[in-house]
Amino acid sequence: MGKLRVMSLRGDRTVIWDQKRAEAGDPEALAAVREAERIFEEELRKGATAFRVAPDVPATKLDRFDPEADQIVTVPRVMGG
Amino acid sequence: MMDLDGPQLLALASVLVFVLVWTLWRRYYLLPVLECDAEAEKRAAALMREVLSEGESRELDQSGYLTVPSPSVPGRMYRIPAKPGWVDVYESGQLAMRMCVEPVERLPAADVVLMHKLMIEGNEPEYLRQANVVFVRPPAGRRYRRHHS
Repeated sequence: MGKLRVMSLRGDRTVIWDQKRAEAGDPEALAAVREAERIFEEELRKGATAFRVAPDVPATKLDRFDPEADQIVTVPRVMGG
Repeated sequence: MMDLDGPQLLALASVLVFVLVWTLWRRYYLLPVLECDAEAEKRAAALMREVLSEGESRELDQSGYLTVPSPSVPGRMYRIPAKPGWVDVYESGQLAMRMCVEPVERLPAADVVLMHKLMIEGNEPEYLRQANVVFVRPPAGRRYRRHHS
């Protein structure tokens, strides 16, 4: 399962998609991938940065949505305090 | 009705101004920094634990900070506090910089820790570009001198 976690004031919002079913062309799974991609793009337009995260591996920045990623976390824009 | 003379009026006005400033500061600065509901904090903590390794979680619990190595500068370590605060940058074991970076949106404390970690690991140049550096260690051997007139 792929997961998109969007950080926000209320804790993260999670969008889940089934990678295997999407690969097999399942319409419901493909719709979930499209919805995750739409939210991903929307967050990036707002200035957020997206990272692919995996246990015990440093995070890598994602400029494009990757449906193969197991977990993607978006963080809002940062600024000097 | 009381009759107030000049100094009493001044004292009363000072108290009123203080109360007004305190109320505004609390409303617009302090509360947004401190308040995120408990459910949000719980969700953010769960996400953070999911992403951190066992060792990183243990370090955060035991020392109150998380150490993240720089992906670009050997020997540079970022020390992220568990609660909102300055991030200390160590180079070869010595404090080299202290800086402040925060999200433009209010986030639960655990999300802020994770935000620092992800930005440092995956987008360090942008993280440093945005950081407000509040302390830089002077180069070795340099002394500050007092000037006498």
